[in-house]
Amino acid sequence: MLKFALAGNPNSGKTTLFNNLTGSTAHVGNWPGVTVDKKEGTYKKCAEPISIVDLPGIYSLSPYTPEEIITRNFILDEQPDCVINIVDATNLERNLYLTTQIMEIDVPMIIALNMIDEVKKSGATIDGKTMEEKIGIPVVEISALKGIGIDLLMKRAYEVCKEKRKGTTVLKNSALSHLINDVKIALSGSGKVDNPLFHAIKLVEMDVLEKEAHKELIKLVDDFKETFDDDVFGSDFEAVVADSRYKYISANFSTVLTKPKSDDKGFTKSDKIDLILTHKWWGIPIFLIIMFAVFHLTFSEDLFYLGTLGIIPDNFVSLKGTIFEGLLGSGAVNSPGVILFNFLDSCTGALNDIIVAAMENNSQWAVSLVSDGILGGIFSILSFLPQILILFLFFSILEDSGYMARAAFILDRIFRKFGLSGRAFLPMIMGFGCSVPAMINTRTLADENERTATIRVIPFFSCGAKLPILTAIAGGIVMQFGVGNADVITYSMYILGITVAVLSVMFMKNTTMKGDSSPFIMELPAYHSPQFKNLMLHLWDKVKHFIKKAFTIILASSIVIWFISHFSWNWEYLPEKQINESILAGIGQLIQPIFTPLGFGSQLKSFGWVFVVAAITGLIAKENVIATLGTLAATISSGFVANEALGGIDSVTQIINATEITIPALLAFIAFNMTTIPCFAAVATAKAELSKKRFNYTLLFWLAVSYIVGSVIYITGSWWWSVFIFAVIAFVTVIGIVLKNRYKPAVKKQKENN
Amino acid sequence: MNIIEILLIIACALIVIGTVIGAVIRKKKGRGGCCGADCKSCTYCPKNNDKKL
Repeated sequence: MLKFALAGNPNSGKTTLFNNLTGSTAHVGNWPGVTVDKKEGTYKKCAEPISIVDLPGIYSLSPYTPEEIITRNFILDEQPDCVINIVDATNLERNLYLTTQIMEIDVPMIIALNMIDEVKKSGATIDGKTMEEKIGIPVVEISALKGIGIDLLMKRAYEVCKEKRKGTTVLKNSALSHLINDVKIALSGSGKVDNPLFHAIKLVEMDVLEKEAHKELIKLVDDFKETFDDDVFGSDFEAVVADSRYKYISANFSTVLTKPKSDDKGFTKSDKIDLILTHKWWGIPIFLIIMFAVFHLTFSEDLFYLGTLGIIPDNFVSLKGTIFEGLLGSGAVNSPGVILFNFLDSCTGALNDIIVAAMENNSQWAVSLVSDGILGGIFSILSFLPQILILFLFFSILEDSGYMARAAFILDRIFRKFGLSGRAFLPMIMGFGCSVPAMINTRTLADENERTATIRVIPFFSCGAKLPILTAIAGGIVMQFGVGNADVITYSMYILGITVAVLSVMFMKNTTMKGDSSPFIMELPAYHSPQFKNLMLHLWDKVKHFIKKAFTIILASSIVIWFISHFSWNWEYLPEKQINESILAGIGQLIQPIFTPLGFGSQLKSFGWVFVVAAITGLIAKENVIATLGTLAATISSGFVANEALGGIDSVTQIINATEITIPALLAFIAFNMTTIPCFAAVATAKAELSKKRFNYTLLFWLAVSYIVGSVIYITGSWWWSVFIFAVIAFVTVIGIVLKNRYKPAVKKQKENN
Repeated sequence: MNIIEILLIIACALIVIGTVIGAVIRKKKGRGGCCGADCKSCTYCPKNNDKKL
């Protein structure tokens, strides 16, 4: 099968083109560095199927970053039939720097001049034909996002791949051209080297890999160096080569591009928006407001606070007595997320009733297994699917529009103070979706300490799987205690996660991982409207992942939980009121005391072990936390009608009733689950990405952080604990001061004696 | 136990066993910790330690 490689600068649209060509749904983000490894797919619209390889974005073929090494190794070793060089037409000169290097390899290539629609929209023009004549490589104007010019690109690439191509260089007029030629002749003479031109230029640049591979030719370069002295760059050949490339690009292509429209100050539309959104002082408040708006639209039961402000009268939209009862709030309007949640909750409730009615001739245990176990587990998390989708729809819009890249830039100022660069924040943003790809994305961080620190804090950025925990507990608190708003609690918990991440990084950077953070240089992409197709692909990915998990891991876990919560150690079926004698209760009660400082330990009534068990099942998949509460809620709640699969919030409310757990303990429970050891898949990824020693410490780190954070929340939220803790701190401080004063004169005396 | 109850027990057993076996197979294939693409030239793949730079 023919193999075409997609190579280009970061954020030039390679993955968008890859998805367009192969019909894949690989993650596309409007920031540089989303793709950290190569991906493969098949293009079937040509005369023969073509394997398309999406390579990570790079600025050069010098082996400084993992992405550059992966791309360089692939083009040189795997010898693709054609390299499609994606060039961002809005940043022509910078993108062509990489083009001038790929040209030097003996591989057929074609230039895809991407984002041509953006160029035209800004009022600029690019003369593709002139460009093709000057560079000597076919150029096709495309828009990967809008699917413009794709068929023509592939048609021409197919033609190009049939012809052999020798590498050419733009350094013919460089001061180093003679040396390059000499090295090339020497390499060609050995007969063992493919791509002699590329290797010769890299050796002249004193590339580490070339120096290692061709030690015998280093002297040739060194001898020339002694006789060479550039006015500006001295004998730094890498700088001389880079300068020559840019001079060539500037001389030949500045006439190809007419600059985009800008105002008197030279600002583009994106620049003007950035003046506000990335402002030194307003940037962070604007970021926090945008994030709050997202949570408000997803979780609020009082949209725009119309009810609180008295704009909506009581029962105005209650729809009481109709089949839509509960869809809209009473005296307030629910957010779209809550409306859909209520709707799905009613649907799952109705479905459960139908199934239970159909099983009325079966034994009580069979009905309980289906209703409480299977349906209870799945339905308790399934009802959160709309809110998860709405939240990720907003995140996708922010990401695709280019705002998330700005968020990294804004937060770089904070993170840098604590020892992490904004570059590390990009994988963390991905952590809001799922920790697994986020941890893999840390490969773009060159510094090992920074990478380890980032992997450790990624789980603190609540992923989609943790959302049901946040929403169900927040909803339970609002319903049972009548305090706060679900959106405010959920948003605060997200902010808590970010705060814990910052504090953890601060701690690591001052103790085990000392060192400066690497500089963060990122080109901010131009703002553009999110594409409907892209957004839907993101959401479809989420739905697929969620449904797959619901009917595999969560279903299996719910079944196991039901069995071990309904059978005793003697394997006897227990009536529902005797659940405290079950296998699960035995295990839970054994571990329960450990969680006493977090508020969901021994201080709870007899069913308190449920929270401990739920937290443990969350180690398999975080959705299991609420699924477990859903499976157990109907059974443990005295006076509650069994055989009724409950929605997540109802389950939590019933358990709050049964256990008499307090608000600080519930918040501690959320915080513990947010910051503790993540799911199996994330743990396996961390294990693969870290050394064994660092991985073991990482597990301990997660446990310690979650325990400390949970304890602090519970203790500060419970006044009697606070008084006790403050008393202990005061006591320790006084003892410390006394000891210090006694120690000081002794040291002074010793110094005097010396 | 009637036929529905027996089938229910068998279905539950199959779901649990199938999920566990599926997870073990995925782990053996190396999925989860890597991108799942071709491992041959991936410098992060543990199988290609010699290629690591």
